[in-house]
Amino acid sequence: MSSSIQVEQVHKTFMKPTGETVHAVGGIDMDLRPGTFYSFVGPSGCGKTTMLHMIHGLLPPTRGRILLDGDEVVGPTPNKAVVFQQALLLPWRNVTDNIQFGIENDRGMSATERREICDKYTQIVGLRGFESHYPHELSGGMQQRVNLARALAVNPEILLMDEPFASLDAQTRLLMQEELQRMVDWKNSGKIVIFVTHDIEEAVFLSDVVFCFSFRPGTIMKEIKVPFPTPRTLRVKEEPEFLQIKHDIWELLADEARKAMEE
Amino acid sequence: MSKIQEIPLEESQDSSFVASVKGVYNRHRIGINFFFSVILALLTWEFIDYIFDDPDFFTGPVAVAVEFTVLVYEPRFWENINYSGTELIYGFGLAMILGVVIGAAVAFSRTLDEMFSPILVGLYATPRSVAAPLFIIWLGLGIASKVGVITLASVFPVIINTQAGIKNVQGEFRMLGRAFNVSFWAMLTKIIIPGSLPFLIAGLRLGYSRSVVTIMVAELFGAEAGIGYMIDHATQTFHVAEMMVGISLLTIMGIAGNEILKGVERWATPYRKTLV
Repeated sequence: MSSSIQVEQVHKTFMKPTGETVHAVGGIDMDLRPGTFYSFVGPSGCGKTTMLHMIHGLLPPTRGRILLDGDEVVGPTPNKAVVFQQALLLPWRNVTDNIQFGIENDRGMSATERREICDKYTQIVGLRGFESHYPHELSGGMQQRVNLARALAVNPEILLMDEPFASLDAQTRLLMQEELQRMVDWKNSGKIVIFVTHDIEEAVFLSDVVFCFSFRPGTIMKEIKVPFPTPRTLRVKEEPEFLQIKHDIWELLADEARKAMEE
Repeated sequence: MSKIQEIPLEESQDSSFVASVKGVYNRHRIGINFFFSVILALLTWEFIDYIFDDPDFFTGPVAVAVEFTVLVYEPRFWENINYSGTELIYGFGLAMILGVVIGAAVAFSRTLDEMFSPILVGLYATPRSVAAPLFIIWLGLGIASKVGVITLASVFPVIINTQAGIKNVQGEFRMLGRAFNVSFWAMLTKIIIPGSLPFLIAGLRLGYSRSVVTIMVAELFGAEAGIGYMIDHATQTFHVAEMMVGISLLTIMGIAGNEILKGVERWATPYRKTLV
């Protein structure tokens, strides 16, 4: 299982209800390889989430094309799964049944197989013992674990993560960053992970490659390879080289963030 | 009752008797509080009767209970209950079906919503008592006109809540359905129906109470029988006790139906048990 994604000169233009056009994404090229963790980092309104949605197939590009293993992406497919910013758990389903949501579409799968997959990912995300809990009985961090397990259960080749830790408190967020590496295990499974975030430190800590987005129309200002071996511990964040990378990215994004703020 | 709560924990532990009373109270507090509130209401009612001391003007619960034991031997009394009960079942049943169907239609179709919502809002705002004489002209003095009025009165909360429930759950989970490539049918059965159920049942409860209130309105403008008819008749002949029996019956119908719907809600949405 190893897919690759080519993004070729992709543009996206929206029409606001007022009739005004917004050029959200302005010509992006990317070559995404299996077994790699990519982050999109940039200011609000830089088109990084739009780019994620286009790769997912939820939005068509206005110009350019996105290829998955040579075929143009036309819509969501079972080999892609998404972890949302808000957990979007169904309140009437317990943890197990929420994790099962994505694999219920697969008619070729027996109920026992489904159960086994759910068990496996419940274990991986560390929710053993909480199987019969309902979402409102879980903390924000635990809800995001269910959100992640639901996406992983599909066993996607491409895992799309749209600011999944944005609503977590600072400590939980750090722990989740560290644990995510074990939970997703993209190196061994050959998955492509795309992680959208505002947080430069989070992007550098998790990624093999960081894409720095400019303000609208979003383009890639720089593609930065992060050299630290994985899995990483939070200690990496204190190393001089880490701080240097973080600093360089901030230098690059500061003007763009200012533009976003003034808008 | 609040006195018991105010006793500090350490003091109540001194005596095993106080502790056990407190334990019993804490375990059954909802039931006990309900019991005392009913007793208090009945006592107040009886006390007001004692002050007025005029059976042609006001009747207490004891007199009403006595009147009830007299009335149960009259076939006319049961006929009235049967008549209003039938009105309620048909009227509310029809409102339930129409309300869910229309509510779902305006929730799923933007065109239908834009076309019919202004009319629905207008009809909702029109007083029910205006509709009653009209329905009598259209459908006669019999049960059909009462069913019509009750349906008209109670259908709107059902429509509005059904629509709100569906829109709410669609707005929240549309992304989830699309992202996991879920078919329309699966979206309907796995997300929209279970998600809008709490709203729907809340709408049914509102609609039901309006149905019960409307029994009175519907029968006031001319009827062959019914509890509303009985109340009206008793009023005009100064049978205050009989009137009170009628009012109590309507109240009991209102409470009973509401409790049944609450039971349905608990059964259909068990996950909310720890939520509310």
